[in-house]
Amino acid sequence: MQIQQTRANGLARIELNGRFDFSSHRLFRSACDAAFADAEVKGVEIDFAGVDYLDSSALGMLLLARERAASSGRQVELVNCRGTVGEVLYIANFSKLFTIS
Amino acid sequence: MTTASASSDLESGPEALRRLEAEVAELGAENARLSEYRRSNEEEEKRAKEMLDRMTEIDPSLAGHVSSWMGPASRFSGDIVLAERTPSGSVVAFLGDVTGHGLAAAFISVPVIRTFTAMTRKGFSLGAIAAELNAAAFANLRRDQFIAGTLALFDPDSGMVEVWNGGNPAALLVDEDCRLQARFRSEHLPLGVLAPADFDPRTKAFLVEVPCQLALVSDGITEQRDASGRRVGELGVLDLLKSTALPARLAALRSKYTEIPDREDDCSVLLLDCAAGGGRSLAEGIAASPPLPAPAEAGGGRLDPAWELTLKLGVDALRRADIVPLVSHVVANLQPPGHDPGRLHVVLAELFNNALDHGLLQLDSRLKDSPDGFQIWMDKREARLNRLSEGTIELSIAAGAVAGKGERFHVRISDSGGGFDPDAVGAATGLAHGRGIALVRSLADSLEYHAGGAAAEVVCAP
Repeated sequence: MQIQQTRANGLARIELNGRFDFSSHRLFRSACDAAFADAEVKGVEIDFAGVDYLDSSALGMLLLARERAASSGRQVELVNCRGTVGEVLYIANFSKLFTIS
Repeated sequence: MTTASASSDLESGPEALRRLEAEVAELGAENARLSEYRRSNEEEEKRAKEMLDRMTEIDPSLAGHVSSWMGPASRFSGDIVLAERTPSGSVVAFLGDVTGHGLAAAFISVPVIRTFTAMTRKGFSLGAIAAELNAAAFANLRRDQFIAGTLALFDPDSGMVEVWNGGNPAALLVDEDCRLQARFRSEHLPLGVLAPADFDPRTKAFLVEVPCQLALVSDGITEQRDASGRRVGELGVLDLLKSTALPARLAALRSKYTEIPDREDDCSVLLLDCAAGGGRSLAEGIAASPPLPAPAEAGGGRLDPAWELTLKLGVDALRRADIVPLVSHVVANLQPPGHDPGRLHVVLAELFNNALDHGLLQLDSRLKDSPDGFQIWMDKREARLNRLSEGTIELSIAAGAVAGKGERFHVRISDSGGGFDPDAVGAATGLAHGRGIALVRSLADSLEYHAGGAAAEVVCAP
Protein backbone atom coordinates (compact mmCIF):
# COMPACT_ATOMS: atom_id res chain seq x y z
CA MET A 1 0.00 0.00 0.00
CA GLN A 2 1.06 3.58 -0.60
CA ILE A 3 0.05 6.55 1.47
CA GLN A 4 -0.06 10.24 0.61
CA GLN A 5 -0.72 12.92 3.14
CA THR A 6 -1.97 16.45 2.65
CA ARG A 7 -3.06 19.19 5.04
CA ALA A 8 -5.55 21.95 4.45
CA ASN A 9 -7.54 24.13 6.83
CA GLY A 10 -6.86 22.01 9.87
CA LEU A 11 -7.86 18.83 8.07
CA ALA A 12 -5.34 16.03 7.55
CA ARG A 13 -6.12 13.93 4.52
CA ILE A 14 -4.62 10.45 4.36
CA GLU A 15 -4.93 8.92 0.89
CA LEU A 16 -4.53 5.16 0.77
CA ASN A 17 -3.62 3.26 -2.38
CA GLY A 18 -3.57 -0.49 -2.94
CA ARG A 19 -4.35 -3.29 -0.51
CA PHE A 20 -5.07 -2.16 3.03
CA ASP A 21 -4.17 -5.15 5.22
CA PHE A 22 -1.83 -6.14 8.00
CA SER A 23 1.26 -5.44 5.92
CA SER A 24 0.29 -1.75 5.86
CA HIS A 25 0.26 -1.59 9.64
CA ARG A 26 3.46 0.43 10.16
CA LEU A 27 2.86 2.78 7.25
CA PHE A 28 -0.68 3.56 8.33
CA ARG A 29 0.32 4.04 11.92
CA SER A 30 3.07 6.50 11.11
CA ALA A 31 0.70 8.49 8.89
CA CYS A 32 -1.75 8.71 11.79
CA ASP A 33 1.05 9.58 14.22
CA ALA A 34 2.08 12.49 12.01
CA ALA A 35 -1.49 13.77 11.76
CA PHE A 36 -2.23 13.47 15.47
CA ALA A 37 1.08 15.05 16.46
CA ASP A 38 0.14 18.21 14.59
CA ALA A 39 -1.81 20.52 16.91
CA GLU A 40 -3.22 22.36 13.86
CA VAL A 41 -5.02 19.18 12.78
CA LYS A 42 -8.63 19.27 13.99
CA GLY A 43 -9.87 16.29 12.01
CA VAL A 44 -8.61 13.39 9.92
CA GLU A 45 -10.02 12.24 6.61
CA ILE A 46 -9.02 8.82 5.33
CA ASP A 47 -9.49 8.54 1.58
CA PHE A 48 -10.24 5.04 0.26
CA ALA A 49 -10.58 5.98 -3.43
CA GLY A 50 -7.42 4.04 -4.31
CA VAL A 51 -8.03 1.05 -2.04
CA ASP A 52 -9.11 -2.13 -3.78
CA TYR A 53 -9.21 -4.41 -0.76
CA LEU A 54 -9.27 -4.20 3.02
CA ASP A 55 -9.29 -6.98 5.59
CA SER A 56 -10.26 -7.29 9.22
CA SER A 57 -6.86 -6.19 10.50
CA ALA A 58 -7.36 -2.96 8.51
CA LEU A 59 -10.67 -2.52 10.33
CA GLY A 60 -8.75 -3.02 13.56
CA MET A 61 -6.30 -0.27 12.58
CA LEU A 62 -9.22 2.06 11.89
CA LEU A 63 -10.60 1.30 15.36
CA LEU A 64 -7.25 2.20 16.91
CA ALA A 65 -7.05 5.41 14.87
CA ARG A 66 -10.56 6.35 15.99
CA GLU A 67 -9.73 5.70 19.62
CA ARG A 68 -6.57 7.83 19.44
CA ALA A 69 -8.45 10.61 17.66
CA ALA A 70 -11.26 10.56 20.20
CA SER A 71 -8.82 10.82 23.11
CA SER A 72 -7.68 14.19 21.72
CA GLY A 73 -11.20 15.28 20.79
CA ARG A 74 -10.82 14.75 17.04
CA GLN A 75 -12.98 13.05 14.45
CA VAL A 76 -11.96 10.50 11.83
CA GLU A 77 -13.94 10.46 8.59
CA LEU A 78 -13.79 7.74 5.94
CA VAL A 79 -14.32 9.07 2.42
CA ASN A 80 -14.69 7.61 -1.09
CA CYS A 81 -15.69 4.19 0.23
CA ARG A 82 -17.00 2.41 -2.83
CA GLY A 83 -17.38 -1.14 -4.10
CA THR A 84 -15.90 -3.88 -1.99
CA VAL A 85 -14.42 -1.39 0.48
CA GLY A 86 -17.81 0.17 1.09
CA GLU A 87 -19.36 -3.26 1.44
CA VAL A 88 -16.84 -4.45 4.03
CA LEU A 89 -17.35 -1.27 6.08
CA TYR A 90 -21.11 -1.64 5.70
CA ILE A 91 -21.18 -5.27 6.86
CA ALA A 92 -19.02 -4.36 9.87
CA ASN A 93 -21.45 -1.50 10.59
CA PHE A 94 -18.59 0.98 10.89
CA SER A 95 -21.06 3.73 10.04
CA LYS A 96 -22.02 3.53 13.71
CA LEU A 97 -18.51 4.67 14.64
CA PHE A 98 -17.35 6.80 11.71
CA THR A 99 -18.82 9.26 9.28
CA ILE A 100 -18.56 7.33 6.01
CA SER A 101 -19.10 8.71 2.53
CA MET B 1 24.70 -19.33 15.21
CA THR B 2 27.78 -18.44 13.27
CA THR B 3 28.16 -19.91 9.86
CA ALA B 4 31.55 -19.07 8.79
CA SER B 5 34.92 -19.85 7.75
CA ALA B 6 34.87 -23.45 6.62
CA SER B 7 35.50 -22.23 3.14
CA SER B 8 38.22 -19.82 4.12
CA ASP B 9 41.20 -20.83 2.05
CA LEU B 10 43.55 -18.41 3.81
CA GLU B 11 43.76 -20.75 6.78
CA SER B 12 45.08 -24.24 6.78
CA GLY B 13 46.70 -26.81 9.01
CA PRO B 14 45.60 -28.42 12.29
CA GLU B 15 44.24 -25.13 13.69
CA ALA B 16 41.70 -24.78 10.85
CA LEU B 17 40.81 -28.44 11.04
CA ARG B 18 40.04 -28.18 14.75
CA ARG B 19 37.87 -25.19 14.14
CA LEU B 20 36.02 -27.00 11.38
CA GLU B 21 35.42 -29.98 13.68
CA ALA B 22 34.10 -27.68 16.39
CA GLU B 23 31.76 -26.01 13.96
CA VAL B 24 30.44 -29.31 12.67
CA ALA B 25 29.86 -30.46 16.25
CA GLU B 26 28.09 -27.19 17.06
CA LEU B 27 25.97 -27.55 13.92
CA GLY B 28 24.99 -31.08 14.94
CA ALA B 29 24.01 -29.90 18.41
CA GLU B 30 22.03 -27.02 16.96
CA ASN B 31 20.25 -29.45 14.68
CA ALA B 32 19.32 -31.66 17.62
CA ARG B 33 18.03 -28.64 19.53
CA LEU B 34 15.94 -27.60 16.55
CA SER B 35 14.52 -31.10 16.13
CA GLU B 36 13.68 -31.22 19.82
CA TYR B 37 12.10 -27.77 19.61
CA ARG B 38 10.04 -28.83 16.63
CA ARG B 39 8.94 -32.02 18.29
CA SER B 40 7.83 -30.29 21.50
CA ASN B 41 6.21 -27.51 19.51
CA GLU B 42 4.20 -30.02 17.52
CA GLU B 43 3.23 -31.82 20.69
CA GLU B 44 2.01 -28.57 22.26
CA GLU B 45 0.11 -27.61 19.13
CA LYS B 46 -1.49 -31.03 19.08
CA ARG B 47 -2.66 -30.62 22.67
CA ALA B 48 -3.93 -27.09 22.07
CA LYS B 49 -5.81 -28.35 19.04
CA GLU B 50 -7.35 -31.22 21.00
CA MET B 51 -8.45 -28.80 23.71
CA LEU B 52 -10.04 -26.38 21.25
CA ASP B 53 -11.71 -29.22 19.35
CA ARG B 54 -13.21 -30.49 22.60
CA MET B 55 -14.48 -27.04 23.52
CA THR B 56 -16.12 -26.50 20.15
CA GLU B 57 -17.49 -30.01 19.63
CA ILE B 58 -21.18 -29.85 18.81
CA ASP B 59 -23.42 -32.04 20.98
CA PRO B 60 -24.15 -35.18 18.91
CA SER B 61 -27.84 -34.94 19.85
CA LEU B 62 -27.99 -31.77 17.73
CA ALA B 63 -26.76 -33.63 14.65
CA GLY B 64 -30.27 -33.65 13.19
CA HIS B 65 -30.57 -29.85 13.52
CA VAL B 66 -27.16 -28.41 12.91
CA SER B 67 -24.52 -29.25 10.35
CA SER B 68 -21.32 -27.39 9.84
CA TRP B 69 -18.09 -27.40 7.98
CA MET B 70 -14.88 -25.50 8.63
CA GLY B 71 -11.91 -24.98 6.34
CA PRO B 72 -9.13 -23.31 8.30
CA ALA B 73 -6.42 -21.48 6.36
CA SER B 74 -3.87 -22.98 8.74
CA ARG B 75 -3.89 -25.71 11.35
CA PHE B 76 -5.95 -23.58 13.74
CA SER B 77 -9.12 -21.87 12.69
CA GLY B 78 -9.89 -18.28 13.63
CA ASP B 79 -13.50 -19.11 12.85
CA ILE B 80 -15.70 -20.53 15.58
CA VAL B 81 -18.78 -22.67 15.01
CA LEU B 82 -20.86 -23.59 18.07
CA ALA B 83 -24.32 -24.91 18.84
CA GLU B 84 -26.12 -25.66 22.08
CA ARG B 85 -29.61 -26.51 23.22
CA THR B 86 -31.41 -24.26 25.71
CA PRO B 87 -33.24 -25.74 28.71
CA SER B 88 -36.56 -25.16 26.94
CA GLY B 89 -35.52 -27.04 23.81
CA SER B 90 -34.54 -24.25 21.42
CA VAL B 91 -31.29 -24.52 19.51
CA VAL B 92 -28.81 -21.65 19.55
CA ALA B 93 -25.99 -21.54 16.99
CA PHE B 94 -23.00 -19.21 16.76
CA LEU B 95 -20.63 -18.50 13.90
CA GLY B 96 -17.72 -16.23 14.78
CA ASP B 97 -14.79 -14.91 12.78
CA VAL B 98 -11.87 -13.66 14.88
CA THR B 99 -9.52 -10.99 13.50
CA GLY B 100 -6.55 -12.79 11.99
CA HIS B 101 -6.17 -16.55 11.93
CA GLY B 102 -4.03 -19.39 13.23
CA LEU B 103 -3.25 -20.24 16.84
CA ALA B 104 -3.43 -16.65 18.14
CA ALA B 105 -6.93 -16.17 16.74
CA ALA B 106 -8.07 -19.58 17.98
CA PHE B 107 -6.68 -18.81 21.42
CA ILE B 108 -8.50 -15.51 21.91
CA SER B 109 -11.77 -17.21 21.05
CA VAL B 110 -11.63 -19.32 24.24
CA PRO B 111 -13.41 -16.90 26.62
CA VAL B 112 -16.12 -16.37 24.03
CA ILE B 113 -16.66 -20.11 23.55
CA ARG B 114 -17.01 -20.65 27.29
CA THR B 115 -19.44 -17.74 27.65
CA PHE B 116 -21.61 -18.98 24.78
CA THR B 117 -21.88 -22.47 26.22
CA ALA B 118 -22.67 -21.33 29.76
CA MET B 119 -25.20 -18.65 28.79
CA THR B 120 -27.08 -20.88 26.35
CA ARG B 121 -27.29 -23.85 28.71
CA LYS B 122 -28.74 -21.54 31.35
CA GLY B 123 -31.43 -20.42 28.94
CA PHE B 124 -30.61 -16.72 28.61
CA SER B 125 -32.25 -14.80 25.78
CA LEU B 126 -30.38 -14.36 22.49
CA GLY B 127 -29.84 -10.65 23.16
CA ALA B 128 -28.42 -11.40 26.62
CA ILE B 129 -26.07 -14.01 25.14
CA ALA B 130 -24.91 -11.49 22.52
CA ALA B 131 -24.28 -8.86 25.21
CA GLU B 132 -22.27 -11.31 27.30
CA LEU B 133 -20.19 -12.48 24.30
CA ASN B 134 -19.45 -8.83 23.54
CA ALA B 135 -18.43 -8.20 27.14
CA ALA B 136 -16.14 -11.27 27.11
CA ALA B 137 -14.56 -10.18 23.83
CA PHE B 138 -14.22 -6.56 24.95
CA ALA B 139 -12.49 -7.61 28.17
CA ASN B 140 -10.10 -10.06 26.54
CA LEU B 141 -9.22 -8.69 23.12
CA ARG B 142 -6.84 -5.91 22.11
CA ARG B 143 -8.53 -2.74 20.90
CA ASP B 144 -7.71 -3.54 17.26
CA GLN B 145 -9.17 -7.05 17.50
CA PHE B 146 -12.78 -8.13 17.33
CA ILE B 147 -15.00 -11.05 16.45
CA ALA B 148 -17.54 -10.78 13.67
CA GLY B 149 -20.34 -12.93 15.02
CA THR B 150 -23.79 -14.25 14.19
CA LEU B 151 -26.04 -15.78 16.82
CA ALA B 152 -29.15 -17.62 15.68
CA LEU B 153 -31.91 -19.21 17.72
CA PHE B 154 -34.60 -21.56 16.49
CA ASP B 155 -37.55 -22.43 18.71
CA PRO B 156 -39.26 -25.52 17.24
CA ASP B 157 -42.37 -24.99 19.38
CA SER B 158 -43.26 -21.61 17.98
CA GLY B 159 -41.31 -21.77 14.71
CA MET B 160 -39.46 -18.58 15.58
CA VAL B 161 -36.06 -17.85 14.07
CA GLU B 162 -34.16 -15.09 15.88
CA VAL B 163 -30.84 -13.64 14.75
CA TRP B 164 -28.23 -11.18 16.02
CA ASN B 165 -25.63 -10.43 13.33
CA GLY B 166 -22.61 -8.21 13.99
CA GLY B 167 -20.19 -8.03 11.09
CA ASN B 168 -20.80 -11.32 9.29
CA PRO B 169 -22.29 -11.84 5.81
CA ALA B 170 -26.09 -11.96 5.92
CA ALA B 171 -27.64 -15.14 7.34
CA LEU B 172 -29.98 -16.59 4.70
CA LEU B 173 -33.17 -18.49 5.47
CA VAL B 174 -34.14 -20.72 2.54
CA ASP B 175 -37.08 -23.12 2.37
CA GLU B 176 -37.30 -26.64 0.91
CA ASP B 177 -38.36 -25.27 -2.46
CA CYS B 178 -35.17 -23.21 -2.46
CA ARG B 179 -36.94 -19.87 -2.01
CA LEU B 180 -35.39 -17.17 0.10
CA GLN B 181 -37.69 -16.62 3.09
CA ALA B 182 -35.66 -14.11 5.08
CA ARG B 183 -32.30 -12.42 5.13
CA PHE B 184 -30.65 -11.30 8.36
CA ARG B 185 -28.00 -8.79 7.44
CA SER B 186 -25.32 -7.47 9.77
CA GLU B 187 -26.95 -4.71 11.80
CA HIS B 188 -24.35 -4.38 14.52
CA LEU B 189 -20.68 -3.77 15.07
CA PRO B 190 -18.64 -6.94 15.60
CA LEU B 191 -18.25 -8.36 19.12
CA GLY B 192 -15.57 -6.71 21.25
CA VAL B 193 -15.70 -3.27 19.58
CA LEU B 194 -18.17 -1.50 21.83
CA ALA B 195 -17.92 -1.19 25.61
CA PRO B 196 -20.71 -3.17 27.32
CA ALA B 197 -22.63 0.02 28.13
CA ASP B 198 -22.85 0.94 24.41
CA PHE B 199 -23.72 -2.53 23.18
CA ASP B 200 -26.94 -3.01 21.21
CA PRO B 201 -28.46 -6.46 21.91
CA ARG B 202 -31.49 -6.07 19.66
CA THR B 203 -32.28 -9.06 17.49
CA LYS B 204 -34.41 -9.72 14.42
CA ALA B 205 -37.04 -12.43 14.31
CA PHE B 206 -38.98 -14.33 11.68
CA LEU B 207 -41.67 -16.98 11.93
CA VAL B 208 -41.21 -20.02 9.69
CA GLU B 209 -44.36 -21.46 8.21
CA VAL B 210 -42.68 -24.15 6.13
CA PRO B 211 -39.53 -26.14 6.89
CA CYS B 212 -36.48 -23.97 6.26
CA GLN B 213 -32.76 -23.96 6.70
CA LEU B 214 -30.75 -21.00 7.97
CA ALA B 215 -27.27 -20.66 6.46
CA LEU B 216 -24.50 -18.80 8.28
CA VAL B 217 -21.17 -18.29 6.48
CA SER B 218 -17.96 -16.48 7.34
CA ASP B 219 -16.52 -13.90 4.97
CA GLY B 220 -13.80 -16.39 4.03
CA ILE B 221 -16.55 -17.83 1.79
CA THR B 222 -18.03 -14.62 0.38
CA GLU B 223 -14.61 -13.05 -0.23
CA GLN B 224 -13.44 -15.95 -2.38
CA ARG B 225 -13.10 -15.43 -6.08
CA ASP B 226 -14.25 -17.82 -8.76
CA ALA B 227 -12.21 -18.89 -11.79
CA SER B 228 -13.04 -15.64 -13.60
CA GLY B 229 -11.95 -13.52 -10.61
CA ARG B 230 -15.45 -12.57 -9.48
CA ARG B 231 -16.17 -12.41 -5.75
CA VAL B 232 -18.54 -15.14 -4.55
CA GLY B 233 -20.42 -12.61 -2.43
CA GLU B 234 -23.73 -13.16 -0.72
CA LEU B 235 -25.43 -13.73 -4.07
CA GLY B 236 -23.06 -16.58 -4.89
CA VAL B 237 -23.96 -18.31 -1.65
CA LEU B 238 -27.65 -17.67 -2.25
CA ASP B 239 -27.48 -19.07 -5.79
CA LEU B 240 -25.92 -22.21 -4.47
CA LEU B 241 -28.48 -22.58 -1.68
CA LYS B 242 -31.27 -22.06 -4.17
CA SER B 243 -29.93 -24.60 -6.61
CA THR B 244 -29.35 -27.43 -4.14
CA ALA B 245 -31.89 -29.51 -2.30
CA LEU B 246 -31.75 -29.48 1.49
CA PRO B 247 -29.83 -32.62 2.39
CA ALA B 248 -27.06 -31.98 -0.13
CA ARG B 249 -26.45 -28.32 0.68
CA LEU B 250 -23.56 -28.68 3.05
CA ALA B 251 -21.72 -31.01 0.68
CA ALA B 252 -22.38 -28.63 -2.21
CA LEU B 253 -21.12 -25.57 -0.32
CA ARG B 254 -18.13 -27.51 0.83
CA SER B 255 -17.08 -28.78 -2.56
CA LYS B 256 -17.74 -25.49 -4.32
CA TYR B 257 -16.12 -23.01 -1.97
CA THR B 258 -13.51 -24.93 -0.14
CA GLU B 259 -11.54 -26.87 -2.69
CA ILE B 260 -9.60 -23.74 -3.47
CA PRO B 261 -5.88 -24.25 -2.86
CA ASP B 262 -3.88 -21.78 -0.72
CA ARG B 263 -6.88 -20.32 0.98
CA GLU B 264 -5.94 -17.05 2.65
CA ASP B 265 -8.79 -16.87 5.12
CA ASP B 266 -10.67 -19.34 7.29
CA CYS B 267 -13.92 -20.54 5.75
CA SER B 268 -16.88 -21.88 7.65
CA VAL B 269 -20.49 -22.76 7.07
CA LEU B 270 -23.21 -23.58 9.57
CA LEU B 271 -26.66 -24.80 8.54
CA LEU B 272 -29.45 -24.72 11.12
CA ASP B 273 -32.63 -26.68 10.33
CA CYS B 274 -35.73 -24.67 11.13
CA ALA B 275 -38.74 -26.95 10.87
CA ALA B 276 -41.52 -26.06 13.27
CA GLY B 277 -43.13 -29.08 14.82
CA GLY B 278 -45.20 -28.27 17.87
CA GLY B 279 -43.71 -30.07 20.82
CA ARG B 280 -40.91 -31.73 18.94
CA SER B 281 -38.30 -30.24 21.21
CA LEU B 282 -40.15 -31.64 24.17
CA ALA B 283 -40.19 -35.14 22.83
CA GLU B 284 -36.42 -34.93 22.50
CA GLY B 285 -35.45 -32.86 25.44
CA ILE B 286 -37.84 -33.15 28.32
CA ALA B 287 -40.09 -36.03 29.29
CA ALA B 288 -43.62 -35.25 30.42
CA SER B 289 -44.39 -35.48 34.13
CA PRO B 290 -43.81 -39.04 35.28
CA PRO B 291 -47.05 -40.85 36.04
CA LEU B 292 -48.20 -40.35 39.59
CA PRO B 293 -47.91 -43.29 41.90
CA ALA B 294 -51.24 -44.66 43.06
CA PRO B 295 -52.61 -42.44 45.84
CA ALA B 296 -51.99 -44.98 48.57
CA GLU B 297 -52.28 -42.46 51.36
CA ALA B 298 -54.30 -39.51 50.22
CA GLY B 299 -52.50 -36.91 52.28
CA GLY B 300 -54.17 -33.89 50.77
CA GLY B 301 -51.16 -33.20 48.56
CA ARG B 302 -49.57 -30.63 50.84
CA LEU B 303 -46.01 -29.74 50.15
CA ASP B 304 -43.45 -29.91 52.90
CA PRO B 305 -40.92 -27.39 51.59
CA ALA B 306 -37.22 -28.16 51.54
CA TRP B 307 -36.76 -24.55 50.41
CA GLU B 308 -38.84 -21.66 49.18
CA LEU B 309 -37.82 -18.78 46.98
CA THR B 310 -39.83 -15.57 46.67
CA LEU B 311 -39.11 -12.66 44.36
CA LYS B 312 -40.92 -9.39 43.89
CA LEU B 313 -39.89 -7.50 40.79
CA GLY B 314 -40.56 -3.85 40.06
CA VAL B 315 -40.35 -2.12 36.71
CA ASP B 316 -36.61 -1.39 36.83
CA ALA B 317 -35.70 -4.97 37.69
CA LEU B 318 -38.00 -6.26 34.93
CA ARG B 319 -36.30 -3.99 32.41
CA ARG B 320 -32.80 -4.81 33.57
CA ALA B 321 -32.66 -8.54 34.13
CA ASP B 322 -33.37 -11.70 32.18
CA ILE B 323 -35.33 -13.15 35.10
CA VAL B 324 -36.09 -16.76 34.17
CA PRO B 325 -32.49 -17.97 33.64
CA LEU B 326 -31.46 -16.23 36.86
CA VAL B 327 -34.15 -18.04 38.83
CA SER B 328 -33.37 -21.33 37.06
CA HIS B 329 -29.76 -20.88 38.07
CA VAL B 330 -30.62 -20.33 41.73
CA VAL B 331 -32.92 -23.36 41.68
CA ALA B 332 -30.21 -25.53 40.12
CA ASN B 333 -27.96 -24.62 43.05
CA LEU B 334 -30.63 -25.37 45.64
CA GLN B 335 -31.53 -28.75 44.15
CA PRO B 336 -29.52 -31.94 44.64
CA PRO B 337 -26.77 -32.59 42.06
CA GLY B 338 -28.03 -33.97 38.77
CA HIS B 339 -31.10 -31.71 38.74
CA ASP B 340 -32.47 -31.37 35.20
CA PRO B 341 -33.55 -27.74 34.76
CA GLY B 342 -35.64 -28.36 31.64
CA ARG B 343 -39.18 -28.79 32.91
CA LEU B 344 -39.16 -26.03 35.51
CA HIS B 345 -37.44 -23.68 33.07
CA VAL B 346 -40.19 -24.13 30.48
CA VAL B 347 -42.92 -23.69 33.10
CA LEU B 348 -41.29 -20.55 34.51
CA ALA B 349 -40.60 -19.08 31.09
CA GLU B 350 -44.18 -19.56 29.88
CA LEU B 351 -45.82 -18.25 33.04
CA PHE B 352 -43.42 -15.37 33.50
CA ASN B 353 -43.72 -14.27 29.87
CA ASN B 354 -47.50 -14.45 30.06
CA ALA B 355 -47.46 -12.31 33.21
CA LEU B 356 -45.17 -9.75 31.62
CA ASP B 357 -46.45 -9.73 28.03
CA HIS B 358 -50.17 -10.07 28.66
CA GLY B 359 -50.53 -8.96 32.26
CA LEU B 360 -48.28 -5.91 32.47
CA LEU B 361 -47.65 -4.99 28.84
CA GLN B 362 -51.12 -5.94 27.56
CA LEU B 363 -49.74 -7.24 24.26
CA ASP B 364 -52.12 -9.04 21.94
CA SER B 365 -50.90 -12.49 20.86
CA ARG B 366 -52.55 -12.13 17.47
CA LEU B 367 -49.72 -9.78 16.58
CA LYS B 368 -47.56 -12.86 16.11
CA ASP B 369 -49.69 -14.46 13.42
CA SER B 370 -47.79 -13.31 10.36
CA PRO B 371 -44.25 -14.12 9.27
CA ASP B 372 -43.10 -10.66 10.32
CA GLY B 373 -45.33 -10.81 13.36
CA PHE B 374 -42.61 -11.86 15.75
CA GLN B 375 -40.57 -8.84 14.83
CA ILE B 376 -43.54 -6.54 15.33
CA TRP B 377 -44.26 -8.28 18.61
CA MET B 378 -40.69 -7.91 19.84
CA ASP B 379 -40.50 -4.26 18.82
CA LYS B 380 -43.77 -3.48 20.60
CA ARG B 381 -42.71 -5.46 23.62
CA GLU B 382 -39.49 -3.51 23.88
CA ALA B 383 -41.23 -0.17 23.39
CA ARG B 384 -43.89 -0.90 25.99
CA LEU B 385 -41.42 -2.24 28.50
CA ASN B 386 -39.38 0.97 28.13
CA ARG B 387 -42.48 3.07 28.68
CA LEU B 388 -43.86 0.99 31.55
CA SER B 389 -44.13 3.23 34.61
CA GLU B 390 -45.57 0.88 37.20
CA GLY B 391 -46.22 -2.79 37.78
CA THR B 392 -44.83 -5.75 39.66
CA ILE B 393 -44.49 -9.45 39.11
CA GLU B 394 -44.29 -11.74 42.09
CA LEU B 395 -42.86 -15.18 41.78
CA SER B 396 -42.48 -17.94 44.32
CA ILE B 397 -41.17 -21.45 44.04
CA ALA B 398 -41.21 -24.05 46.76
CA ALA B 399 -39.64 -27.48 46.47
CA GLY B 400 -40.31 -30.47 48.64
CA ALA B 401 -42.01 -33.80 49.04
CA VAL B 402 -45.74 -34.10 48.46
CA ALA B 403 -47.36 -37.05 50.17
CA GLY B 404 -48.12 -39.74 47.62
CA LYS B 405 -46.40 -37.89 44.79
CA GLY B 406 -42.77 -37.55 45.72
CA GLU B 407 -40.65 -34.50 45.02
CA ARG B 408 -42.59 -31.57 43.49
CA PHE B 409 -42.19 -27.89 42.68
CA HIS B 410 -44.98 -25.53 43.63
CA VAL B 411 -44.78 -22.41 41.46
CA ARG B 412 -46.85 -19.24 41.83
CA ILE B 413 -46.56 -16.24 39.53
CA SER B 414 -48.80 -13.20 39.73
CA ASP B 415 -48.75 -9.74 38.21
CA SER B 416 -50.27 -6.41 39.10
CA GLY B 417 -51.65 -5.98 35.59
CA GLY B 418 -55.11 -6.52 34.24
CA GLY B 419 -54.76 -10.28 33.92
CA PHE B 420 -55.78 -12.07 30.73
CA ASP B 421 -58.13 -14.75 29.55
CA PRO B 422 -56.07 -17.95 29.64
CA ASP B 423 -58.80 -19.86 27.81
CA ALA B 424 -58.77 -17.42 24.91
CA VAL B 425 -54.98 -17.52 24.69
CA GLY B 426 -54.82 -21.27 25.17
CA ALA B 427 -57.54 -22.16 22.67
CA ALA B 428 -55.73 -20.93 19.61
CA THR B 429 -53.51 -23.93 19.02
CA GLY B 430 -52.07 -24.24 15.56
CA LEU B 431 -51.23 -20.58 15.50
CA ALA B 432 -47.94 -19.05 16.42
CA HIS B 433 -49.24 -18.16 19.82
CA GLY B 434 -51.21 -20.01 22.40
CA ARG B 435 -49.02 -23.06 22.64
CA GLY B 436 -47.47 -21.93 25.89
CA ILE B 437 -50.33 -22.80 28.19
CA ALA B 438 -50.91 -26.16 26.52
CA LEU B 439 -47.22 -26.83 26.94
CA VAL B 440 -47.31 -26.05 30.65
CA ARG B 441 -50.37 -28.29 31.09
CA SER B 442 -48.59 -31.18 29.37
CA LEU B 443 -45.55 -30.81 31.62
CA ALA B 444 -47.23 -30.16 34.95
CA ASP B 445 -49.46 -32.07 37.34
CA SER B 446 -51.77 -29.09 37.47
CA LEU B 447 -52.13 -25.50 36.26
CA GLU B 448 -54.69 -23.16 37.77
CA TYR B 449 -55.44 -19.51 37.12
CA HIS B 450 -56.83 -17.17 39.73
CA ALA B 451 -57.72 -13.49 39.90
CA GLY B 452 -58.94 -13.29 36.31
CA GLY B 453 -55.72 -14.67 34.89
CA ALA B 454 -53.43 -12.42 36.94
CA ALA B 455 -52.16 -15.28 39.11
CA ALA B 456 -51.06 -18.74 37.98
CA GLU B 457 -50.28 -21.74 40.12
CA VAL B 458 -48.47 -24.86 38.96
CA VAL B 459 -47.44 -28.11 40.61
CA CYS B 460 -44.87 -30.06 38.64
CA ALA B 461 -42.25 -32.74 39.07
CA PRO B 462 -38.61 -31.61 39.18
